[in-house]
Amino acid sequence: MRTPPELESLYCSWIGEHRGILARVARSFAGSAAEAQDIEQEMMLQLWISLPSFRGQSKPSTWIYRVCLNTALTWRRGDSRRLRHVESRADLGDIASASATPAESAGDREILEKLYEAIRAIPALDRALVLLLLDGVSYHEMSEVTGMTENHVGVALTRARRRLAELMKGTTDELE
Amino acid sequence: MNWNDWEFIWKRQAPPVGAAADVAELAATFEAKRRRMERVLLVRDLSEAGAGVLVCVVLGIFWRKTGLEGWLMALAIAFTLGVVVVFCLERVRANRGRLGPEAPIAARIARQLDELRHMRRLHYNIIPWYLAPLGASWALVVIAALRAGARHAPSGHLMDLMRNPATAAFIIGYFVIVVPLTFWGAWYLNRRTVLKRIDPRIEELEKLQRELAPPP
Repeated sequence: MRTPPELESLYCSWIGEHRGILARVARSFAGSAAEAQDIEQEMMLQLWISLPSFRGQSKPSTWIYRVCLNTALTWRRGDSRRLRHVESRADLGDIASASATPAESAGDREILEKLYEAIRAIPALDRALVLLLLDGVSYHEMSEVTGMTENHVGVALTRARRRLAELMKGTTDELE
Repeated sequence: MNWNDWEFIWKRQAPPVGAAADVAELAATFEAKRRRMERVLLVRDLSEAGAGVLVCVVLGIFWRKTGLEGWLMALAIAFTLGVVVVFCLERVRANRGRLGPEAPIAARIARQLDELRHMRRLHYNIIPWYLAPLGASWALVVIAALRAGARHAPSGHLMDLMRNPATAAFIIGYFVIVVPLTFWGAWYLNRRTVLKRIDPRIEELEKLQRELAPPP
């Protein structure tokens, strides 16, 4: 059982260390830049609320993925019940250009944007698996995050990668 | 291009970068501003819900005393009660999402941003949940009153009321000027609140949030 100051320092260090996970998951599940920000906030909140339940049985990043993906999946499920945004929505590409570093070329950014678009177009569970794979998470950890067996993860990933490749085909041909 | 290329580009993407902000000042005032906002929301929810209940009671008494068209008045009260329910749910939502005193500032900021974005959505969508039901309620009450007035007219028709210039001016003025102006005013004030208060605060908190997160 951790004390509140311990929880606080753990939370702050994890948020700092794994902020990229939150941003990538949010962007993959959001329909707009504003929604991506909303999901990210919700994830941060859920991480804090769920932190006392972290038993240390998995890697922090695995646990963070689980909380974030669950939040994003729940968010999508509740999407139709949410009030409709009527304000003009910033394009999701704005996130890419806002966070781009000089090291990222314009071509990289374009491919990355197309990749996010393709990820958003595949079913939610496949999307989660593809995100984990792109972030270099092992099959064992993926099974911990999703609750699927490792074999099932492998099968689902093959299917997801095929779908993604189909969606990316036209794009990369254009860019090449 | 293949999977490995995408993976390579994916891993090179930059984490969110923070904009420059006066963190010390923002952090120092955060708690006070958060409490103030909580108070404002509490007052808003209680006063709006209380006023709604009061209006329903007044309409009920009016209905009973004058014996106006029952279904019109019942519908008007139902619309007003609908808005009261929204404010009650808002209070439940605010209480449920409250963080304990041990919550770190980062979680508090996330919570407040969540709340501000929710408020922003409510303000932007004020027509379906606030203006439309209240407008309908007003209109129904006026129609019920006019129909009751028509009953005392010689022929018993609503149009008889329009023969009296003062009544006609009141009816036309009410529907053409008072109602649109009131609702436009409410809509405008809400937009203004978003632009002048909510959006700048969201921006401020986002800066604070980015700055407080240690670099990866």
